[in-house]
Amino acid sequence: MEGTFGYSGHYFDRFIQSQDSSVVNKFQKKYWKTKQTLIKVTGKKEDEHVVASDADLDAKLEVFHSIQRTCMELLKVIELYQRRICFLSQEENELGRFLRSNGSQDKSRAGKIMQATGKALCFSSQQRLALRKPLCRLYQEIETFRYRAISDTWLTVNRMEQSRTEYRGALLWMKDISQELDPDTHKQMEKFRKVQAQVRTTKTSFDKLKNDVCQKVDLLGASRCNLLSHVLTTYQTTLLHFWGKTSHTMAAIHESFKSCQHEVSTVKASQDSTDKLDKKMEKKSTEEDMEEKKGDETPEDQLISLGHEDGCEKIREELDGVEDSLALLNEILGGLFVDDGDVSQEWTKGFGDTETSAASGGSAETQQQQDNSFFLPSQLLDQSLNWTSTVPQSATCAAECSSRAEQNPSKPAAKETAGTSKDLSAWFNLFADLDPLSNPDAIGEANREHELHTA
Amino acid sequence: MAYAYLFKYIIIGDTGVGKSCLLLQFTDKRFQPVHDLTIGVEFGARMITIDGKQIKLQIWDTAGQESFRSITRSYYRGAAGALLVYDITRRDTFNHLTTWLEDARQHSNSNMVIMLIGNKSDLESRREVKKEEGEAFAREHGLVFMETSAKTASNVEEAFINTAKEIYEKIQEGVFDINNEANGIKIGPQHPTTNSPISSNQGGQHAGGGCC
Repeated sequence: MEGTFGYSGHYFDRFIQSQDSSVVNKFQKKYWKTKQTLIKVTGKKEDEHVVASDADLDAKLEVFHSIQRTCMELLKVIELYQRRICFLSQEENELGRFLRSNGSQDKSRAGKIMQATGKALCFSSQQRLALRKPLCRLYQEIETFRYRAISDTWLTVNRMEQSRTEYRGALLWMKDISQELDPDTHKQMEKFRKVQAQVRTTKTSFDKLKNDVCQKVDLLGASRCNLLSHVLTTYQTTLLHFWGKTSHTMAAIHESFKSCQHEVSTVKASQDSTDKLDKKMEKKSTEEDMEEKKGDETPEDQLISLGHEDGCEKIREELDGVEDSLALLNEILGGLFVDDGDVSQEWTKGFGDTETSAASGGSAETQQQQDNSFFLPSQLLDQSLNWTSTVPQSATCAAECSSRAEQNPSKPAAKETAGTSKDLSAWFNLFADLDPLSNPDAIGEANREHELHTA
Repeated sequence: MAYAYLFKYIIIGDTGVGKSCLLLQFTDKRFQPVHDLTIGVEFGARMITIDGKQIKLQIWDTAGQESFRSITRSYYRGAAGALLVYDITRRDTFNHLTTWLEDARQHSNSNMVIMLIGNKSDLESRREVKKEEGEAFAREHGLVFMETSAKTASNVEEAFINTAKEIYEKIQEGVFDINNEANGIKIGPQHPTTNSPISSNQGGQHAGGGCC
């Protein structure tokens, strides 16, 4: 059983041919690289094992492409969102001015309320514009991110793909030469060593670039999360600030409005006897119903369907129409507190006095539950804080996964049903998702702001 | 030195299980803790004596990395013996055995002798696969089993030589048709004491033939 020893070929000829730069060798390298390029371009099935061995890299590339795509989508969404804010602010301002000018003509208490409401609306419209600043910042940051980080990674990805083609070409070559390999035939071994050297060099360079790409994509994802978390914190603060201020103003008006409501009921009772007025009331209520419907649909459309541009003009016209008929209504029912009161109630309801809605919360909520299929803007604005929170959330989702992002803006209702405590957790979750080390101060502030808001 | 028979062996198994180290230990009686990644295939050769006959083992040490899988498949052809190696400290290398076995059976001749090897037996403290599991797998699939250590050289000789013995027995039984080179067996020159034309042809050759 004694054996005599031979030696393996390992260390003798391993590097012999590695520096072969003859024309034939160059031509052969080119040939196999071109062959691989052709396979790739024509989409011919590649070696499953070779493909499988790059699975982790391909997964990273998938992430990279998703980052690329969703950044672009996020930019578009921000732009649209900004535009909507402008429109909304404009409308709000116009309404405010309308209420003020009409209120000033009315010397009664209702006139005062109208003026105050109008003032509050103008104020809110101005404050709303402050949201644009952090959004602009976000836009710029993402734009810079795209130009710098993404394009840099893209270059590495391209270099890696080049190198991958070369490596796979070399593998094809090796496979070809392995078909008839005999280690005892010098000529074949010489050829094999040459190809082996080529595979080794291309593999080394490919492995390095592969690693580079994986690391860069990881960093890219992390830095985007970081970026979003930072910039969105500013947005969150601004948003909460805006809602805090606006709700304060609205709450103040609501206080004065409450006492007015009592007057309204007494006046209403006295009016019931009058036939003529009764008719008018009927007419008014039907008109109002119609308006309500219009009002119901339009703000919702405007707020939710971020998609269509031309729809906006139509909505504005409709809103103008509503305003006109309201003006008419005001004229008809000029001197009566009751109508002014109702109208402003409608409008405060329609335009987001959350306090009012909260006051009449019981009925509003039952209405919501009864009518789940029909989504009311008041519901939407009732929980405006929550809804607006879905905007950055949907933006982040767009960043993370486009399919989810597509669902979110169209279905804010799903979130709306949640209670305020749940809203709060969703709000926190949003930022927790973004940044596990999220600033605890920011959450504290959010909490405080929210308490203020619900107070 | 001439040989009576030449057996072609292949060593297969996951990357990093110690295939190249086993070969180095067998051919050079050395151990190298850090080994370059095998690109495609490497070769080794050693003469052994069985039943008074000189037998040359021509060993193909294949690359374990997945990207070389299709390439290494072409090396199965014409192998008389295979060493299917796993690493006793890495459960996944054991779990992949079925795939390797299927591959080997599909791309080689049916009489190929397969030896299952659980390598790195010196790393007892890090063991993840019990010896009994290896034995059970071998029994189930009709393989010969052995635990080896390329580091301490334990069982390395035996692994290669026992495989050769089994092939030799099969030749004696007439299972292998030694005139068909597709079986991975070549008959050497008939006069072992004189220099044969083949061995003189191999004079300038590095891979495998250097010892002859």
